[in-house]
Amino acid sequence: MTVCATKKTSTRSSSSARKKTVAKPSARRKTKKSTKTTAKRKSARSRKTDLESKPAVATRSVDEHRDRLRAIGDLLRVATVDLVADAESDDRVGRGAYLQVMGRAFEVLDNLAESFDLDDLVKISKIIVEQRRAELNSRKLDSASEDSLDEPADVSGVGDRGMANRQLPEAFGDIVRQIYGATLADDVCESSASVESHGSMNGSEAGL
Amino acid sequence: MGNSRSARQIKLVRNEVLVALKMLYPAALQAEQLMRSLLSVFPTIEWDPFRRDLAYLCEKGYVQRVVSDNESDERFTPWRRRWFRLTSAGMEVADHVIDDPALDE
Repeated sequence: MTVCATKKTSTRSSSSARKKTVAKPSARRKTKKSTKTTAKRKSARSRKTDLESKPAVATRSVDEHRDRLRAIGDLLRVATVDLVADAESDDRVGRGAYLQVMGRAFEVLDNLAESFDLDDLVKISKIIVEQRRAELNSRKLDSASEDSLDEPADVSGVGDRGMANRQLPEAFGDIVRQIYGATLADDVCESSASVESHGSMNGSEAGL
Repeated sequence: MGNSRSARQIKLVRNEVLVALKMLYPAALQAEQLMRSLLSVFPTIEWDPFRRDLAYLCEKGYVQRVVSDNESDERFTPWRRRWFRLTSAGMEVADHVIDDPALDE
């Protein structure tokens, strides 16, 4: 009897176990359904927020639209006057900053967006600062490498970048003399003059 | 609107693109911003015809593309994200200093 009882209990336990195992997938389904519903709710919420961020624009007459744009243009010209100069030049960083700030401001002013996101503004300014810093570093490196490359060209006198474009400090000659024992302008004058005259002759020949 | 746009509608939209960019000159606008702004005047305007109009105005030399520094490869920037500004020729047409029969209302 005890054996039967144990069997019964075992069968009960096994059946309950089966039920449990059967119940698990349903629970999973429920969780799937619940995740689906939450996803749907989330998407509905995001749609709502999208709609809220993009307010419906009522139809305007052409004249109203032009007046509005004129006012926005006047405002933007005053607000971004410093950035316009950068945008006009070849400075791509300045132009990019101008476009980003101006575009966002336009969206807000023309009721295409609700508000100007300050986080975006902070990001833009950080990017600009980093890019400016990188530009400055690269310029410094370029100028240093140009200086080192220009020296022999100036000595020979046939380089395309002459001394006339550079304005060195007055004490520069003394410093160079202390370091190298000679200066380019005074001590190598004769050799460079001879090379220059040779170069100018070549130039005149080329001109002929 | 699509292909069924009349010549008058086409001219109206193209003119308004020039006028909108003129009001913001020398600033530039993204194509999407420009279109969304024009939706308040032309509620039935669609993207593809608008893009064609913009391309037409660019080829005419009235509108020019401005490449932003954050465009890694300008060829792959989607049209909606491209920036456009008025050229001097476009300014003259928008001001009616120069007449263009293709844009006369």
